[in-house]
This record gives sequence, C-alpha cells and structure tokens, in this order.
Amino acid sequence: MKRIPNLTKTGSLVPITLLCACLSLPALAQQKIEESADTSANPTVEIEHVSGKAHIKVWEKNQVHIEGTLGKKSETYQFEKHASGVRFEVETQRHRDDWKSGYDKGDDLLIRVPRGSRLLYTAVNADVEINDIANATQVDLVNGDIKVSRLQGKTKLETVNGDIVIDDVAGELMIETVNGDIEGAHANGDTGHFITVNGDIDITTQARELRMDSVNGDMEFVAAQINELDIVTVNGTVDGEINLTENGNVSASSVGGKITLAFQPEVAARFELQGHAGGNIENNLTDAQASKAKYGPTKWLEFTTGNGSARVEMSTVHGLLEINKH
Amino acid sequence: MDSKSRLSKLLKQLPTEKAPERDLWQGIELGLEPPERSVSKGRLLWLGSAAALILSVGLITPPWVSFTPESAQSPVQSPAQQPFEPRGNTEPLLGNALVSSLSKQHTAQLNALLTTMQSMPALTQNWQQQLTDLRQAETVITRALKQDPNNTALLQMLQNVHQQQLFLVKRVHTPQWQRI
Repeated sequence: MKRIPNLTKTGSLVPITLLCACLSLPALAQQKIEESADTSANPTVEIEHVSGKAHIKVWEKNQVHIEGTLGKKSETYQFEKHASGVRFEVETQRHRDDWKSGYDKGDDLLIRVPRGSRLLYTAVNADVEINDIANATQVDLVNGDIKVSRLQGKTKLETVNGDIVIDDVAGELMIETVNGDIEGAHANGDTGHFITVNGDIDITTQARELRMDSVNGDMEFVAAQINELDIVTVNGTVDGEINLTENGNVSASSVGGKITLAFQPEVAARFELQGHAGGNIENNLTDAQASKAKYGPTKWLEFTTGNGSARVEMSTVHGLLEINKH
Repeated sequence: MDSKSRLSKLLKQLPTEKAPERDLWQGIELGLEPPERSVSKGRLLWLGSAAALILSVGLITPPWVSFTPESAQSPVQSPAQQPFEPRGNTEPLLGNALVSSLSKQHTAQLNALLTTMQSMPALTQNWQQQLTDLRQAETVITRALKQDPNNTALLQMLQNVHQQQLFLVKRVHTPQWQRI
C-alpha cells in the first residue's frame, strides 16, 4: 500500500482512513467512487481503465475530480497525485481473453480537469467523450468510440475497432482507426493526419498540411488552404475539395480506387497524372486530354495552369483519377 | 523456286509493324522530353532516397524499431536476415534491382514482425483479410513496375503498401494492450 499525497476528499464512500493511507484501493463491484486532487493549471492527467465509458470535461478549478461507478469486474483503483499531475488507474480482474472479447458494462466515470491539462486516456473496451482540453490530448483504445469537441493543442486519437468523431478541434491532429470511421471538423490546425484501414473518412479541415491513408476505406473531405496534401489509398474512393496555395504540393495515389479532386478555378499548378495498368484519367479542369501509350496500358496527362507554381501529382495503377473545378 | 524467290515470298509474309514486347514509349519519351517532363525534383529525390535507404538500412536499423506511420521502420532485422549485402556496394540500385530489393527487404521485415507478433492475440478478426488485400495490391503494383521499373510513382506506391502492411500488423498486435 502506498500513500496518496495531497488528496482532497470529497465525500467518497471509501473509508477516509483507507483513502488517506493508500494508493491502491480495493473496489467493490459497481462501487461508487469520488476522488479529487489539487493540481497546477497545466497538470498531466493519466486515466487508465479496462471497460466502460468516460466523460472528461474541463472546469475552472485547478483540481482533478473523478466520480462515478466502477464496473463489476473492477477490483482495485489507484488515484495518485505526483509532481506533474494525477494518475487514475482501475485494475480489473483478468480471465483469459477477457480483455479482447468480453464487453462488460464496466466503469462509468465523469472526470473534471483543468482546461490546460495534458490528458492521456487509455482503455480497452470503452467509449470516451472529451471536451474543451486546451493543452494536449491523447487517447488509446482497442474497442470503443471516441468523441471529442473543442480541443486545442496536440491531439492524438487512436482506436482499433471504433469510430472517431471530432467537432471543432484545433491544433495538430493525428487520428488512427483500423475498423472504424473518422468524421467531423478540424479547425485552425497546421497539420492533420488521418489513417484508417477499412473505415471511412469524412472530414472538413483547415489544416495546411494534410495526410490521409486508407486501405479499403473511402475518403470525403473539404480542405481550406493546402500547402501539402498526401493521399494514399489502396481500394478506397476519394472525393476531395481543396484550395491549393501558390507553392502547394499535392500527391495522391491509389491502386484500384477512384480519386476525385476539385480545385479552385484559378489554381496555378503543374499537373502530372498517371494511370499505369488500365488506370483512367478524366480532366474537367482544362481542355487537356490524357495520352495513351501506343503499346501498353499506360496513360498520362500533363498540363500547367497559370504560372504553374504549385504541383499536383496523382497516380493510380488501375483505378480512376478525376480532377474538377469547384 | 530458288532461294531468292523463297526469301522474297517470306519477306512479304512478315508483318509491316513489329510491336515491342513491353511499353518502350515512356522510356523514349523520357529521353526526348525536357527535364520538366521526365521526373520531378521531388520524385528524383525520393528515388535517390529509396536507393540510399536500401543501401543503408541494414547498417542503421536497431534490433527493434517501433513502427509508426511517420517512421515506417523495420521492427526486427538482424544482419543475417538482410536480403542483400550493402557493405562495399556504393552503386545505387535502380529499376528491377531496386524493386526486387525493396520487395525482399519488406518480406523479411514482415515475416520477422509476424513471427514476433504470433504469440500475441490479435485485436481484430479481419486483419488477415486486410493483409491479404494489401499483399494483392502489392502484387498489382509489382506487376505494373515490371513494365516500368523506374517509375517513381509506382515505387512510392509500393513503399506505401509495404508500410501499410507493417502498420496493420503492428497496430492489431500492439504490445501495450497486453499489460492492461
């Protein structure tokens, strides 16, 4: 048993003597908990549990406050204040393969943190909603959905089997999911990176550097002023609308998927498009038409608009490339 | 019929056009067009980087390098597993040799990663099908590269599907989840 320094007790059902003396607290099935600790305005807040749901929001106090009900399988929890912030961890009884197959109702947590927190949230089977963190947010999930809104700073959201919904998220953004969709609005960020394997991406973003990867997932996006755009898909369909900056760069490739990009009418860029083995090219931006190799399946289209200061390179093996005006 | 007449008859039977066995026009075009048409600076830089990577990866890759989309590295690669010997060879690999080396190196990386991860339960049920999709995409790209082995867009695409394979395997077997 370890000590919990500087804890503020706020009505926990756990006996006060045990709370003050211990870091690891035994938890009864579906036990209600309530813990809090004073912190700085910018603490690191680490939350780790196995299953359930959590809602993390900010308040004006320099204090981390956790309340809720633990799941049936939750055995102990730790609530620790350290030099840089607070760590809360729920230990769950383990049966073989429980962690990947069993979806217990789990913990139900409401967590309040200072707006300037650096939040690290980890769970296996859980849904999480996070609002208004202004410093940095990192979420790692296996099974579960992530919903965030009004985040600022560096944000990294990862789930394996789950959807990710963002609303009015600003700052550097990195999102990964394997079997889940990504959707929402990304505002005022320099960089946005979205990765799926089978999930779809539906994003509105103001990132100036944007990268999107998928294997089979489709992508639909509207971007503001783009300096760097990288799109990689194997079989997904891509439908994007961008405003390319004067010296911007676009690189988009697919193996079998269709990529459609719409540019501002006055775009000034050098366009180079290639279809390698049966791939097709459709140009609705200018009158230039694709050329076809006399021998072999290769097609290509190259032309320049305006002073050609920006660059657009698109390629497909046997998919379709289409460029349009918006 | 004398030999001259026979030859004349045979010559008339020959087709008036002879198609090359593969698409040569791109190569001819690249030789005729100004530099702007041939390969962009960025692509040349990428091609050089890919060749340099082939030469240097065996020397710099540590025993375990965490794979992330930002830094797609080899996870397990002992010198003995290297598919080629970069030491002492300063010639950059191009064309089919580069494609072959990239594929061999990737296969070694993927197999090593799969071996490492095989004792860990997978977090998804469909990752093997997704890996199969990616391997099929790799085959399609490699086939296209046989027609045009120095095409930087195709080479980059090949690298992309290699990275996506490693990312997928690592993501669905992430060791960090085993401790929770």
